[in-house]
Amino acid sequence: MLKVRESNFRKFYNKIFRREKDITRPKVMNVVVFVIFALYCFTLLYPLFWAFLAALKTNNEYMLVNKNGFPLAPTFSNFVTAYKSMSVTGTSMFAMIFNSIWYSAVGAFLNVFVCAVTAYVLARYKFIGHDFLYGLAILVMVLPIIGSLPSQYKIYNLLGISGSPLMLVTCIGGFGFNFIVLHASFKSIARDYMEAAFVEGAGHFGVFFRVMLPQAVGTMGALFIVMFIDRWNDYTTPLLFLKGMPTLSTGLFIYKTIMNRRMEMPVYFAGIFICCIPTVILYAFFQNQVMNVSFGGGIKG
Amino acid sequence: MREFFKKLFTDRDDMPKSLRRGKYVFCYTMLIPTIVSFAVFYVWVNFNSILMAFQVNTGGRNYIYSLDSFRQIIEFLGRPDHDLRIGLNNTLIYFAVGVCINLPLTYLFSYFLFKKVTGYKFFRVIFMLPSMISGIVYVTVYINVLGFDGPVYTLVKKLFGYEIPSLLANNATATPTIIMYTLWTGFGTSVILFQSAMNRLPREVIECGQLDGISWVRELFQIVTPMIWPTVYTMLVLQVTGIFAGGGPILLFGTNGGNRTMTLSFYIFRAVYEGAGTEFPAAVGVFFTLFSFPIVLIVRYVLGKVDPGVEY
Repeated sequence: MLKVRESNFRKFYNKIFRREKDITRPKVMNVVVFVIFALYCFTLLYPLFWAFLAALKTNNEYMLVNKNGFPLAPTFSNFVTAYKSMSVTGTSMFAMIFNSIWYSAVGAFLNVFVCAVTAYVLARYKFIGHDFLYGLAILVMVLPIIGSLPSQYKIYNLLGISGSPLMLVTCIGGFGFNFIVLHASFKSIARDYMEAAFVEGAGHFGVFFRVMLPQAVGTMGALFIVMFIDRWNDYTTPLLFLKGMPTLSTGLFIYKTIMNRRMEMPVYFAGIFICCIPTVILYAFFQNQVMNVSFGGGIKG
Repeated sequence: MREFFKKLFTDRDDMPKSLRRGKYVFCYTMLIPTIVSFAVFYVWVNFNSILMAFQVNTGGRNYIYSLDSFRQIIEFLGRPDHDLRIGLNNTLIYFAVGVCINLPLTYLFSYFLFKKVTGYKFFRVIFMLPSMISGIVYVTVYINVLGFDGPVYTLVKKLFGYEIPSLLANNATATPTIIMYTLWTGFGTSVILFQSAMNRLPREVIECGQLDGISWVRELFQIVTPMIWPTVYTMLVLQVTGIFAGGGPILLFGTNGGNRTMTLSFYIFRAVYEGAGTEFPAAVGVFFTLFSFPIVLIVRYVLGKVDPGVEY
């Protein structure tokens, strides 16, 4: 009987923690690491779950009766209230969502596209000034510039782009993290494709747009998603430079500051969950692409 | 020197002659947006930053140029209770925690995800959550979970009879609370980069080590690390590059830099946000940029010497 029990336990253990074909997993460490990872995941998920439960409670229940338990009478009305009542400096939540979309999507697209163009030219062509520009791109990444914010503030105001969608021109960039990733990506594409296209009579623009760019779409898509999410969650830049056009992240921060103690926390929790929905959906659908972003050779050399 | 510039600006091309002319038009046309953007939003901004650092407003739009701001910075750094001194101390603590705890932990996490620990697909998705969900969400939830009558507060009170004090309202606990938050949520993007570098390793090499019976520690430090050294190097250099720019989301924690939670980046941000003059914060930026230059160069030089020379 004991033998049968042992063998069942062994089967269960093997099923969970080992795979016959996979020799790369250390056995004891696998269990220890699994436990540590599971605990860490619990700490990341539980607070969100707790906040979600809080968003399903009435303010009275949350404040006076039942702050930590399951809602006595779950209600989604806080989500509707959040959508209707959370307005900041005359901007409704709908307008904030709209601002978030253009700020994130157009900004991310501009940056990734321009980085792709720069990366392709520097990865695939040798021309006068090539080494200088590549060196500059690396230098920009490792130069420890601190606190250029005051100067940015002055210059953006001087250019008249502060407080308007024209702020998006600041996203163009062309160098930086995305450049490094895309440079590695274009370097890894076989030169034969390019040469075959030239032999077939394609021009430089044709080769780029019709042969090379489609091959980097996967990497570009992953970078777009990462950048979109990053900009969606960014609250400092819109706070300083898009004062009349709060995005959802900025709006939630301002709303919290304005309302302070008068704020109904369940409604606020509902608001922050509305803010999360697009990024969570994007990440859920494209997590495999995002996970494959790599530096290639990095900035070494 | 002449040779260096000659090398930089020489055309070394293996392209057929017929395509060369069009190549220049293509290359320079495509690079126009990058060059213009770099000139305006990098060169101009930083050059103006240096100018502003020496400016002192004498009323209206009148400025004189002096070293007053720098004198003030040195004076403020000498006062233990001045925001700037607190900001410097905290920023260095955040940096130390980032390099000594966060980065090694991230590296270990990435290694075990690469080793396909049970449930690795689920774990890697969850580890990224703090990077995917707005800081506003996690900070709000973190404050409320730890705060009065929150689940952690209630649990600790029930188990130990101890009432957790208001952590953000106390000088001694406010910054450690924010540091804990940055540690808790700080594994995201670096995990992706380490892990994708590890995933490109030839599986045969890892399997050979396994067949020889090497431990995971040896595998990590003697096989994996040398093979993904460019990524490790990049991450280390980027971390050092941000030595004076680090810090937690002070704004979201609502302390406004009070209770000794100030950091250098928040000091500069607050001055701009509150419209408290832009010249002095610019000088602060330039001052610490000057200090970080040699640090970054030394670290790059030292790390550059560590070249495992592995190619695959």
